Amino acid sequence: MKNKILIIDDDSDFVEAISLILSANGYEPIKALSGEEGFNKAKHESPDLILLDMIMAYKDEGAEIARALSQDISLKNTPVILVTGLRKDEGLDPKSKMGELPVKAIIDKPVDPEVLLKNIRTYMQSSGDEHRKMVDEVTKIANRWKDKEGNLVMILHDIQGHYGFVPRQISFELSRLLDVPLARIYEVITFYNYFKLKAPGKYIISVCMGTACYLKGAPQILRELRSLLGVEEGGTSKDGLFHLQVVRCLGCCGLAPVIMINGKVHGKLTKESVKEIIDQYASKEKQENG
Amino acid sequence: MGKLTYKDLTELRKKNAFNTGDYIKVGMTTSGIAAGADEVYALFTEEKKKRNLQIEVKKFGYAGLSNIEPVVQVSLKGMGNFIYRNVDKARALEIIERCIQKKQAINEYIYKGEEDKKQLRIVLRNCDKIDPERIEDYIGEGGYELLARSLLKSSPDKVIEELKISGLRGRGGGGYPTWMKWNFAKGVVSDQKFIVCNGDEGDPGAYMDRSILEGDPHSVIEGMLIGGYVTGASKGFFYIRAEYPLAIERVEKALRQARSYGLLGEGILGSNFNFDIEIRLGAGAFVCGEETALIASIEGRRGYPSPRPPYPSIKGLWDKPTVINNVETLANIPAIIEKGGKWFASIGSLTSKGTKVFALTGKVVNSGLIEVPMGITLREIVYGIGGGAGDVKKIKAVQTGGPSGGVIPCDFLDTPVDYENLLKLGSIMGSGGMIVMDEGDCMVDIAKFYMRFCVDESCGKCSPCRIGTYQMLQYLKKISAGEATESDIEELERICSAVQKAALCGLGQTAPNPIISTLRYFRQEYLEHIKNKRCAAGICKISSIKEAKDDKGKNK
Amino acid sequence: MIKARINNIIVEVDEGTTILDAARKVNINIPTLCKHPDLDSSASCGVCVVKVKNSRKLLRACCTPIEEGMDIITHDNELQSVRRTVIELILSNHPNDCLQCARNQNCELQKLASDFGIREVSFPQFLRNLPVDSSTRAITLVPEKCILCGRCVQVCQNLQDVWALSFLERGVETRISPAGDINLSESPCIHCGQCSAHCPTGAIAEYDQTKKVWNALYDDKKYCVVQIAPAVRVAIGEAFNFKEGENLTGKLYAALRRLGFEAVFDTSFGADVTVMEEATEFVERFVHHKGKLPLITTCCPSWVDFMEKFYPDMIEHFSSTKSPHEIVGVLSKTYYAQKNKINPGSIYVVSIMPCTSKKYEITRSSEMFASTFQDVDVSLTTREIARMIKQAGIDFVNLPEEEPDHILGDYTGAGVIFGATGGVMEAALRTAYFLATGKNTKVIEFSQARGLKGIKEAGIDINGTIIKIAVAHGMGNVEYILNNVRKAVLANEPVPYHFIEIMACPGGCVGGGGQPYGVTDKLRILRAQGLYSDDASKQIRFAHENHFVKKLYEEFLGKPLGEKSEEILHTRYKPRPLYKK
Repeated sequence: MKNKILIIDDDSDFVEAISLILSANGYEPIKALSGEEGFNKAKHESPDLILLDMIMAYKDEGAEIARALSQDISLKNTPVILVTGLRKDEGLDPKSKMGELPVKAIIDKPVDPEVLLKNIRTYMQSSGDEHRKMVDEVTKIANRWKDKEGNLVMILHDIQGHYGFVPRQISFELSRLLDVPLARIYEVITFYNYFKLKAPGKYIISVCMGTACYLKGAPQILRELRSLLGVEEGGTSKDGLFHLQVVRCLGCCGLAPVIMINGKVHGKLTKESVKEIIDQYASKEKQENG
Repeated sequence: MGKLTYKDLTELRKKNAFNTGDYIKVGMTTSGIAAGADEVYALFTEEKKKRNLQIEVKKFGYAGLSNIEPVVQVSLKGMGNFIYRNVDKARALEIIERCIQKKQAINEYIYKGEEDKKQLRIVLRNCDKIDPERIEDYIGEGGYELLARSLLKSSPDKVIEELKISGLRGRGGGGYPTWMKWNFAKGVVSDQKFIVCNGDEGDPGAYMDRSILEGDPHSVIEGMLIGGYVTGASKGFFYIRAEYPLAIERVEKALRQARSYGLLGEGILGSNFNFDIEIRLGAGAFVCGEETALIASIEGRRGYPSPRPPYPSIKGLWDKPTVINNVETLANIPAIIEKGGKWFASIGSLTSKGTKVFALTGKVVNSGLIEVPMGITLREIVYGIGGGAGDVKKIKAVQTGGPSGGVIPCDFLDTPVDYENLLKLGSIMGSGGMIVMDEGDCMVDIAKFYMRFCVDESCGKCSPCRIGTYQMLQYLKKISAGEATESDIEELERICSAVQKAALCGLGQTAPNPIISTLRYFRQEYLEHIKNKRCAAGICKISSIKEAKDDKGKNK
Repeated sequence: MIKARINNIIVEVDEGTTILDAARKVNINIPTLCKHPDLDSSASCGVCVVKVKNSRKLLRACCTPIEEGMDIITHDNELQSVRRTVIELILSNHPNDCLQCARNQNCELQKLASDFGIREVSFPQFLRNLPVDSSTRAITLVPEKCILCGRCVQVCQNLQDVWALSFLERGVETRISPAGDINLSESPCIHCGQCSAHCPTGAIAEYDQTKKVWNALYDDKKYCVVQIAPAVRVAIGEAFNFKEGENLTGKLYAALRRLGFEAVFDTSFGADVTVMEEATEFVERFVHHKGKLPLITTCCPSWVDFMEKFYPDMIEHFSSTKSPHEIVGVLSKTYYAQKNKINPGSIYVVSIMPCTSKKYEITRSSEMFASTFQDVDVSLTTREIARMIKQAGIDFVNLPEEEPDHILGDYTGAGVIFGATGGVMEAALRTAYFLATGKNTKVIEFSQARGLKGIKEAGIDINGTIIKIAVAHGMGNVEYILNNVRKAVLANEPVPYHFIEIMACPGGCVGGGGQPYGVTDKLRILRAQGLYSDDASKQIRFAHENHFVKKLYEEFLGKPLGEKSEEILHTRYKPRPLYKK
């Protein structure tokens, strides 16, 4: 999908001209003719890069917008390029104070299209492209469930299926796409045990603590795993390989005690056999990754 | 594949009705695969190709005793049908070479099925026969015929009448008369109604519903379709635990296949009945098995229960009339329509009709899924089918109803199992988990285990459950550690009473049951922990602490 | 009507009435804890359980509707025992430090424990180790004291549509927190304090700044002046057992002087000045087409914050006039200081507000320092000043009525009705009428702007021209109004309203987040009535006829929207981040 660039400038001719250059070079321009409109569109359209004028309704408005953008957690990683006419004769030397502003680059007006495009390409490469990729992926997942009511839980399942957990940036993106307050998304994620807020290890070990497994020694298996891996329940081993969690009843009671590693069930475990299994996975990792 | 008419359905059934050729069937459900059935299946498929054998290799959704898995059925012309137990790769090879190629029965691991004689498989009727991933198999066994009959030759009122006569009660644990639920929803005028299949089987030690969904998903779909027709609903939902990936996969496949035949969608079987089903997943919250919490979950919110009234059949999902039925309940529906309510009512006890699927586990020789008529005694189940505890320790009690249930000591093993009798004994039928415990299990520890479960799974909305379960757990820990006094039992009982009465939903209201039940029958075990600081079963870690304390004293 | 029996007394009620409300008709107040009359029942505490014949289970009175023929018992041995145990359970998870708590003597949990004669909690106490959050410097969250009744979440999410607060985790780990465990100041919180107004315990309270004010009062180098908001005078009485809604302006002035303030002003005077500026703004936009319509009021800082965070696209519709107390603040340190030859650097301005958000407003932007000092130094809530009066031992009840310092304290009926929803609109219209026509309107009271309806839309006839107004209170009512405006703008149609008044707190400032606890619709009405009575009793009811306001413009400001006004009485707005973390 095309990278989106937001242009914020009260000069509508300028905005039109830049939009044409951007469209001609494969970008999708978003236009805003005031600071407030610009901030609003940044929040609602999640652009990959922002071009910002310095002086609009009042002196320093551009600076204030740049600061507001950098304070907003969902927008602070969006690269901002200041595009401004040097106005030394008005007693403003923008360049002097601009070093303090949270922008990536400053381009002078009148704009040289080559300089503009070069800067854009640089910052797209460093962060804009990744942002677009993330937005596209999340949009695809959200669209699968677009017309279904109550889709939040299912969308979170798909997000976790894709990323392994639910990163905070993604939650912000979902909040924007689904028009659901961030608080609702976190309420749901933290209520249901299934969803994770931190990246788990490569292998997720679920120890079944159902009644049959409990009676047949699951607590001992859990203890053994905790000491073997050096983690508590809900934690990931230091090498990032194993994540340990307890689940209620995998329904393999005939094979109690049971653990599941990334979907594969291992049953009739003893302290010794569980150590063997972990060793198998660890040596497989070594083989594959040296 | 195209939309079926009734005539098409009948022809399809005739085409798939009889298995005339030789076959090998491997029991492929989660527990079977955990025991290695997928490798066995792969081996059979490979060997068939290698040796160019004229035999079909198929799957079936085995739902039976799990200590004999992987289970393999073999049918050879001229020899008959055999069931082989505990088939690993070596035995699989043997079956190929000795049984199939040399036509010899391998008696060493034939499963004779003595335990099956006491069973009556209605819900699990197809699980030994069909491949759950082939809708044609289901149709061959008469599947969707009952939907057709209801749609085209009956009426919603007539179906409700049959259900009423049958006496079918909710199999999720509530035991509520199914016909009543359907009737309430039917009576509400609404532009939309829903049928929800509750597959959030969260009771630890229970996996009946999972096995039905993995072994015979179409029976549940057909049940939902009939329910939709009767109540006037046009949309259904499967709510399945996320921890059941194979069940989800099989239900997804079944829905796709049903849709491709026009058995879901618009104008089903040429009538003007429209119905389609969507799957929604749970996400690790036991409380979402409770009806109003389930509704909140499907609506994309925190799974908090709501006060009732209003009841879901009147005002449920998105405020529309919603019937929520357990998987097993729905699987019964086609059978009842086929053979009639009177037939169903002839099975079982006075108040509890039909059969119940139990997951018999714990300290028994034969553990796994069984389906028995209501009214069978616990003794017949535990000893007759379960084979008793073997030569290990003596059986002490049978636990039913999971964290909402209670223990039944062996003095009462001759009790006929039904809803009311179990209630009288201080337990509940529950969803079907039945755990056998022996002298090596400590009743205080069991109560603690279930209470810890309730603390973890409490949604936290209401104070009695949120704080009450936590406090009950603290008291149990204290007793278990040998640090309690007798007045602690009084406090524990006081909290039990308040939580039972003031909790908002069934989870909280029944959370004290394991404590109340173990105190009723095994109070002396509690007192033993308190007065003598001793755990007779040797589970609770008291003695070591006491010894350490004594040692410290000695060193002084 | 349906009939039921409660404790053997027959009661007749409308369909849909809950057992709780029905019981009140027969003089029974079934004990409750989590229920609040403003909000839907969450059914969480379990205290209000009652017995209903033919029901196996006990039912919650707060949410169970009466059915024909229901037979209900509201108290017997079993119910008492259950309720006591439930209360004890709640107390076992609550810190026992009532003596050091903001809600000492005014706490719903404390009252319940006291009524039930709880002398001992036999269950072991366990507390959650959660940090206190005062990051907003306006509201303080003390999660340890939270009983998870869910009122604040309902208020913040459903009533106010801000979604700053939410539940996190589940079971015994459940807690109230902004999304993803950040500080309140990093969240969308607009500081309206409605959460604290509805909280039954000390879990959410105002950020107490009384110590700061005491220090200033006892500092010889500081010249302390104070102003009281309209809504304070009709609510302060509740802290001293006066009748609800009674107007205690005179006693308040007296009490504040006795506390040690050198001058006592009135924010209602500032309101009159706001009317001058804002009505002129309106006439500019409406009559002379200079600027966008509709014009939206901005004296509510929570509303301003809401707009800057959620809908910055509407910023150009905002009136640039500051809020009344900021106006009194800046005038104290300029006009007042100059006239009385006091060093403005020594003036310490304290605002007494019904509002927690003003604590945030006084440093929200550089324009709040227009006097070259911080124009308002501290804002206290009604609750805080009541405590200060008591601490000083002032016998409030028997104080004589006194006058304010008129220069910034004399007010008209228009100024004082700012405290009720619709009051700003009414006051501004009275003056706009005069500015547009040169005469005073015959109809002084605009009843269409009054009352508790969440959204009030009306057409006001000003000498033949219809001004379309909209008045809303409670942030949840805002989206409807703004969407109507946006739709019209997009479609290039005439706007549906010319003038909009928005207040964040339901009822307007009388129901503010800093008012005495226990607000209900009944109280909101009584307090507002107190203000409307004050207006009706006043000789001068038009802001533009206030002698001291006229003098202010003659001697100092020049004219409304003139250069001096623009310099010190107006402010700008900018988009703000929703989430800072």
